[in-house]
Amino acid sequence: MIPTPAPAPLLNLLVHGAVFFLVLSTFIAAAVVWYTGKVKARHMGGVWRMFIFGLFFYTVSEFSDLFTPGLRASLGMHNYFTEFALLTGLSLIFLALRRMVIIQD
Amino acid sequence: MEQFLNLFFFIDKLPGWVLEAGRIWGIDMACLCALPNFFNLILHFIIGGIIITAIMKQGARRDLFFVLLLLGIILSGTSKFIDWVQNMLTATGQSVFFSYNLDITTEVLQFLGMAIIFYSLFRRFFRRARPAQATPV
Repeated sequence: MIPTPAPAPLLNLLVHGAVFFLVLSTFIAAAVVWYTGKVKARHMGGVWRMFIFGLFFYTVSEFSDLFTPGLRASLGMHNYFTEFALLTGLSLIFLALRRMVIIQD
Repeated sequence: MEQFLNLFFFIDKLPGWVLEAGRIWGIDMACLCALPNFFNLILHFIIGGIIITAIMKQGARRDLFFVLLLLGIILSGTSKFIDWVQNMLTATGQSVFFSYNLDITTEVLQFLGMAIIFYSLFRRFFRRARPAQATPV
């Protein structure tokens, strides 16, 4: 049932790493925007905080997902952790997105 | 190493009678492991529906923001669908299913989808901010 870990192909690791760094850099960018007070001026502080929180969960999920090619599977507790963190993150991101759309229009 | 991996694969920690009881009631515990994927997929359908409704109601067809958002959601949703299929093939099969090519496809689609969503979001945020500051009240 459990696959023995094996060295994953470089391309898989690179693509997984790219997604992780995309989310991480967006998280940092969103945090910087929040810290500089640009969102407060537009009365979007709460929504943006929700967005940052979602990005944090997404980053954690993608970090966990980095180990998927090495394990050659995503099942069981590893899958639970990765997917539930992603579910939480995406829920917060999409909720913030929806509220932003409402605020701006 | 085996014990360490067992921490990640909770299905092997379950006693046989639990698995058997699950099968009697038509619940495969391995299938249950693919459940979070399924919810992720549903989430994409919900947000996609919200965006389509916004486009239909507000007549925002010309607004690039909504189009980009929808494109991002479609790409990300497709990646989640492939991810779910992979997990379901493992859950319902006799051995662990994993394809490096499908894994790359999933991640590339996710990368493109999320990049488009984040780009459109930041673009909208900063583009709207400028005229509001410049306009005298």
